Amino acid sequence: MMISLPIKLVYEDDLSEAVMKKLLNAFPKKYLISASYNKHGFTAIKRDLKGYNHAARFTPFFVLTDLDQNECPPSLIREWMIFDKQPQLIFRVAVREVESWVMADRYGFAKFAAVAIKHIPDKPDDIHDSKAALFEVIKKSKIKELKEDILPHYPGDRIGPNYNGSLCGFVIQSWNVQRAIQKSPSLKRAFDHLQNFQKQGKK
Amino acid sequence: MIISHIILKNWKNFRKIEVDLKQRTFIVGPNASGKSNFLDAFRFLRDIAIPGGGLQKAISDRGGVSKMRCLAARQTPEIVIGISLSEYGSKETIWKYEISIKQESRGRRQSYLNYEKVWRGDKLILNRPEDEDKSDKERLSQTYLEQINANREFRDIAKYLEKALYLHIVPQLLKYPVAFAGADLPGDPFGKGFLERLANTPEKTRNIWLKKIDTALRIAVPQLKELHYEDENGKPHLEAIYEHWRPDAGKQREEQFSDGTLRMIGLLWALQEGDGLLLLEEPELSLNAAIISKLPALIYKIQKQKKRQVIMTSHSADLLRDRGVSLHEVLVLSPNKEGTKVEAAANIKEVRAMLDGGMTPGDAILPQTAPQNMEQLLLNI
Repeated sequence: MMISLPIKLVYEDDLSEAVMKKLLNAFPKKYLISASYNKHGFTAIKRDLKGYNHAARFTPFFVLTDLDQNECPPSLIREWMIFDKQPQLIFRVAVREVESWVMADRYGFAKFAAVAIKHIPDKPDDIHDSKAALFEVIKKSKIKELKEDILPHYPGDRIGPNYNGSLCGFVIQSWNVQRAIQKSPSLKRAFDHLQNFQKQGKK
Repeated sequence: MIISHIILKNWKNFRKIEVDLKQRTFIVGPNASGKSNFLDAFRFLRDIAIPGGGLQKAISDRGGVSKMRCLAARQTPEIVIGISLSEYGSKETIWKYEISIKQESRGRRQSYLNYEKVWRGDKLILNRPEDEDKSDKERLSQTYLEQINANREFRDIAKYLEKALYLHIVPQLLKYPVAFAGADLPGDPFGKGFLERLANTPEKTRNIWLKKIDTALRIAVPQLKELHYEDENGKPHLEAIYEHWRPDAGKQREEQFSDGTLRMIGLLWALQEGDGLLLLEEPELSLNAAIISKLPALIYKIQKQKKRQVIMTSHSADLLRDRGVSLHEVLVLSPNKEGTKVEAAANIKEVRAMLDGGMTPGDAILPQTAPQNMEQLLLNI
């Protein structure tokens, strides 16, 4: 019997967490999540990355952050990882935000939002502002509840009151990893990394 | 309906404030800045409107006008509470109700109305004192709001206020009600009679609500399963299966539940019970940060189904780390010599700027409510 790898998650928000869990579930029995660190934004991930890297000497850590307006993943990694990376630290960058990964399952997301598939971006990794693009899709939706949950209610708000709850619901129930990796290269790289991680049966 | 606006003058910590309220409103501020006293303004109106209540009882339950008045009050010692009511999801005012209360400066020190006004939309439909009030001053010891004979034209307001519910579950009171003798407080604010409330709920409804709570608890407290109601010789109990490392799972009753479990049960019950204004005192108490951060969305989901307003106090940055919480929904209390000021977080420029820089509402707002000389605490004790 294969023994599952205990792994700890570090992420920016609830939506990232849902996506990471779904990604790990794509490899049945390989991973067992033993703790989750919601850092509520990238600043705390950047600040605490050294600590997680230290701890990765003893147990695997899977850290996911958004590229946001940084130039490209390698430059972000160079800037943040100013120390030797432990082999058990899996550090991945969503281009440019995890919302792009979510929409990368175009078929699934179109169904969720009840819009035609042509309204879902074809190259999610090329979108400059993933959240804004997601809002554009939701604005086209005829589902009133979805709009109320996801779109900002008051001026200056970044997201709606049940943004995470609603989108996490989609990721957990319907988001299809296999479809999504075909559209998002950054997601595909993360997927491949998780697939090959400790494959040689190294304990 | 929701209370979309409130005016307070000389009410407890507040000398003169006026502020908009949203469907979901969070009240934050330093200790003793008046968060609970802010909620008490709504409870005061409810206590006037409920059957068996009334103005005089609401005042005497609070120890008299002198205990309710703002310490910073000077020239104008009368208390004013005014509210505007709107439909859920609308900005239009459909009702306005405002009362002013005074106390006789000598003699019996009787409390009486300085005025009582009701507007339907913009139209003033009640303006007391009326001629009859002037000839018979005793009449001003009661509001029209509390009198069925007199409130016919605006009974909607009374019916709305009557339904307001305040909850601040103190787990020890719920677990050991017998140990805390004395008269029960109106509205059972601290959950002492919580189990009776369960008992008095029709079985079918009770089962539906408990099932929902059970679903939530299975996620938040995975060891706990099958939460249900038990009646033992007429005494109501909550019971659940508690799984532990031994193979035979044991039954647990409310007195064995953890404080966090009980507060979570109380919170989820209150959200489902009724559809009037719900006032919550620090819903985060005894709960794990991961659960707390989900509460705003949970409250939003349940209140939306019932079109119900929820106003809560909090000291928790975790509660406000959800970026789905709008700065327009957060009221920040700041005490000063002239009484406590109230401001929507959206109107505080530097808070808005912090959010633009990527911070969460909780991280931007909560430090503003911390005492400024905390380093002295350890030096001086």
